[in-house]
Amino acid sequence: MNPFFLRAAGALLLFASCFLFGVSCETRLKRRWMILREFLEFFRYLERETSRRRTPLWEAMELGANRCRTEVREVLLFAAEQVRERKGGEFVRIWETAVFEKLGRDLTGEEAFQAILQSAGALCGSDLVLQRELLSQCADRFALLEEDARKDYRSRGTLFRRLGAAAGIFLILIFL
Amino acid sequence: MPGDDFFGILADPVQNLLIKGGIQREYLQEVRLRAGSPLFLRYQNREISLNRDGQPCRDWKDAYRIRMEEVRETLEYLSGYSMYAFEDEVKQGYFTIPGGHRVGLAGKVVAEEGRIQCVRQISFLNIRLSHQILGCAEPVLPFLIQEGQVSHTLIVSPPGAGKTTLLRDLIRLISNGVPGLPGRNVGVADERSELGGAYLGVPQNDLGVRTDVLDGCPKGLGMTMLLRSMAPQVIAVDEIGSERDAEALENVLYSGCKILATVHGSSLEEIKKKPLIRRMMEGRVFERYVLLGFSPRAGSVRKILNGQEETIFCGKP
Repeated sequence: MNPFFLRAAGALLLFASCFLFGVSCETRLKRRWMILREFLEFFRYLERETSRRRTPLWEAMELGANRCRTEVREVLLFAAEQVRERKGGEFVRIWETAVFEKLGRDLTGEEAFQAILQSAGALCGSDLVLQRELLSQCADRFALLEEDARKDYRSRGTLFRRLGAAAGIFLILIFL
Repeated sequence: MPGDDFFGILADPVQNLLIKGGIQREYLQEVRLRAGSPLFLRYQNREISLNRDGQPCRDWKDAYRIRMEEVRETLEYLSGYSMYAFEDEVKQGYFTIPGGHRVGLAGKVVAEEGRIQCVRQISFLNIRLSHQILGCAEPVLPFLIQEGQVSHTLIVSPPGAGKTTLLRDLIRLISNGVPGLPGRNVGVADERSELGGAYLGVPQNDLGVRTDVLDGCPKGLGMTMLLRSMAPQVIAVDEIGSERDAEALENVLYSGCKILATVHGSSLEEIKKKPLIRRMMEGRVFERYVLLGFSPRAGSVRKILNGQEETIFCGKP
């Protein structure tokens, strides 16, 4: 085989893998942003539900899940089923199980993951005044997290993609 | 029976206690949970408390004490994890759960300008189990039928003697129809969700195939709405007596519709002290009075009287 073609193929593969690595980093940032945005929308939706239509929690979760495209959908559907069937014990336990099984902390980052776990108190409580307050706080907190994640994605996402491409070109230059 | 749905709505430690104690669901009438106080049950018409091993104890000081977390956990299960869905009911101090069971609650009330805004820190629960006794009204119904028509009937009984249970079964029988009385359209104004035991709008008790239930609506308003919208032949209402019901009752009485009602009281003399009931009795509005008592057991029919207050049936003493 012509050594030039061999080098060109190797260079192409190097470039592609570096570029894809950069793109996957960007995608992870985007996914994190989308997850937080969907949680935020769900909390805002539940805020309305608790004060207006008063849909039971399992139904609100199912309706909320229908609007989601990320892992949040799986979390909500899992929790909704446990709540509807009343087989998961206390809500805190149900929520923890759903979040650990269907989401995983590597997708969201530690801070957001803890915020998601702590939101159990806002989703279900026996004190309505406190629950509304917690829901409102939760929505505010997720609004901040979502804003940070969006900024991260906008700034670092493009950077990762460009760095990946640059790294690929750099390696090609070295090998050639 | 242990393990049936009802036990599942109690906090795990309480549930385990009842199962260990061999408490049977069909004999259980009431469960009282008070944070920091012993667990009390009304079981086979007696109040009992259970110790840590689930055994009945004579001295309540030895009884298992309920913790606040258990009250909260029970509330989660009772409300299907959705206390907010019962906000209006909670303001009135009770809500109904699947199975028609009533949950009374107490805690810190937040009021504004004399109106209850919400109940917070709920730490007292009284779960009254719904016991629909199918067929309990069968011996009574023949006395309430005159010339193929249901009579205007007032059921009189002290609290806990079974007037709601009897009324519920009368509604079912009249609605489904019995020999000598074809099924009638029955409208039920169920202000406190006791008759239908509705959960999220669906009655949990069998009220018959021709029954329309207006759930959670004030009695007076409910009777008027039913009359206008559902064309009932019989209207049933629990615990009348307040002046607010008077106008609606009059509308029902003069519309060709029959009324089945209940009132708290142990005798006719006692209920005559209520102005509305006295006026109605003096006007010979009711054609039948059914008096219930506790002897020989709760729900026993003591007497049935006609409109002239003459005894037409006398129960066993």
